[in-house]
Amino acid sequence: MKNKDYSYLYANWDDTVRRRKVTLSNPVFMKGLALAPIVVAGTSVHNGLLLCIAVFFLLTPTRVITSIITRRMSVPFKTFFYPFVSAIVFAFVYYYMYRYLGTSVLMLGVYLPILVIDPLIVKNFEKTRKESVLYSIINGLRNTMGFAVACMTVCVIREFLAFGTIGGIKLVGVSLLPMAQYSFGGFLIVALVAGLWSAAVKNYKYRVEVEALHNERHS
Amino acid sequence: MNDILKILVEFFAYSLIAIGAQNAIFTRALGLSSGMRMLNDPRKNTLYFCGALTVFQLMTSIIVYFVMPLVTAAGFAHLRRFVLPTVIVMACTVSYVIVIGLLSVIVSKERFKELLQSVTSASITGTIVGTVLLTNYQGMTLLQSIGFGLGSSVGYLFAMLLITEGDRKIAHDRVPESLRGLPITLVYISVLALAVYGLTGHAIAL
Repeated sequence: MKNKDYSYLYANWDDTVRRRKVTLSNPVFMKGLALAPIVVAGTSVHNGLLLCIAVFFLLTPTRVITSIITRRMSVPFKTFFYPFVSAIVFAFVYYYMYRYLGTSVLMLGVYLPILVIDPLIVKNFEKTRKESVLYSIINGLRNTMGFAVACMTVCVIREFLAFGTIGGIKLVGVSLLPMAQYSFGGFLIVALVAGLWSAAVKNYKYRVEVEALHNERHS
Repeated sequence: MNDILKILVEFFAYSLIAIGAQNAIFTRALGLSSGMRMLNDPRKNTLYFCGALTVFQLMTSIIVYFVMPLVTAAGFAHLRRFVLPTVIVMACTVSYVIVIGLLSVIVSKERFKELLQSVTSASITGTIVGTVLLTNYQGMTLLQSIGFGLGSSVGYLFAMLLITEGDRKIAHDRVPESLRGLPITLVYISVLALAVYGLTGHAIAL
C-alpha cells in the first residue's frame, strides 16, 4: 500500500470502518449481529451455505424496499414495518429455498425464520438518516458479504473440530473437539474468532496510524 | 381436582423446561444479539426490558395460537410454515399497540417516556419469535405454549441478569485488549451454557 493511502485512511478512519463491512466492521465479529443462527445452527459448511443464501436473498431486498417506503416514517412505526417487510420477503425466500433445496432447509429449525427479526436484517430502522436506493443496495451487499465471511469461517472451523470433515470431506479420522457441535462450543469458537478478528483490526489500525504519522513527518 | 393438578403440573413442567434445559440464551441463543446490544445501551433497563418481553411473549403466543388455525382453515395449510413468521410479526405489532395504549392511560407522562425505549425494543425480539416458532413446530397446546413462553421469558431474564452482572465484573484491565467487549462476554456465556448442559445433560434439537 502506498504511503498516501495510509494518510487517506487515517484521515477518514470512521468512514473507512463504515465502508469495510467484511473486515473492519464485520456484522458478526465486530458488532455481534446474527449470533443465534451462527452459534446454534452453524455447525457445518452445508448449514452455513443455507444461512448465507437466506441472508443474501433477505437482507438487500428488505433494505431496498424499506428505504423506499419508510422515508417519512417515525421510529416506532419503522420498528414493526421493517420486520413486516422482512417477514414477507422471507416467506418467498423460504418457500423457494424449500422448493429447490429440499427438506435440508427445514433442518435449520427456527434459525432461518428468526433471521426475519435479527438486527442484521432490521436494525436499520433505528437510523434517522434517509437512505438512497443505491446506498441500500451497496450497504446491503456489504453486510451480506460480511455475514457470509463470518458464517463460513465459523462453520468450517466447527465442522472440522466436531466431525473432522470440511464440507463433508473427511480430513481426520477423529473428532478433535466434540463440543464444537453444541451451542456452548459455538459461543466459545465465535468468541475466539471474534477476539482474533478484533486483534487483527486493532493491529491494522495501529499500522495505519504509524504509517500515516511517519508519512506526515517526512512530507 | 386431579385434572387441575395435572394441568398445573404440565404448565410448570413446560415453564421449567424453558427456563433451564431450553434456556432462551444459554441453550438456544435466542435474542442474544438484542441482549448484547441492550448491554451497551444505557437508555435500556434490563428489568423493564425483560418485564415487557414477558408480557409480549404471552400475548403473542396466545394471538398466534388462535390465528394459525384460521390460516389453515383459509386453505393455506401447505404454506403454514412459510407464513408463520409474518403472522408472528403481526401478532407482535398488535401486542405492542395494546400495551402502549394501556401504558399511556395507566402511567404518568414522565414514566411513559422512561418506559417507551425498553418496551419498544422488547416488543419484537428473537426470544419472542423463536419461542412462538418452537411452540408451533412442536404442536404445543395453548397451556403448554403459555407455560413455555413464560418460562422462556423468565429464563431470558435470569440469563440477562447473569450476563449483565458478569459483564460488569469482567470489564477490567486484566482482560487482553482484543478480547474485551463481545468476545469475553461470549466466553462467559459459553461457560454458563456449558454449566446448563452439564446440569440438564442433553443438547437440543434445532
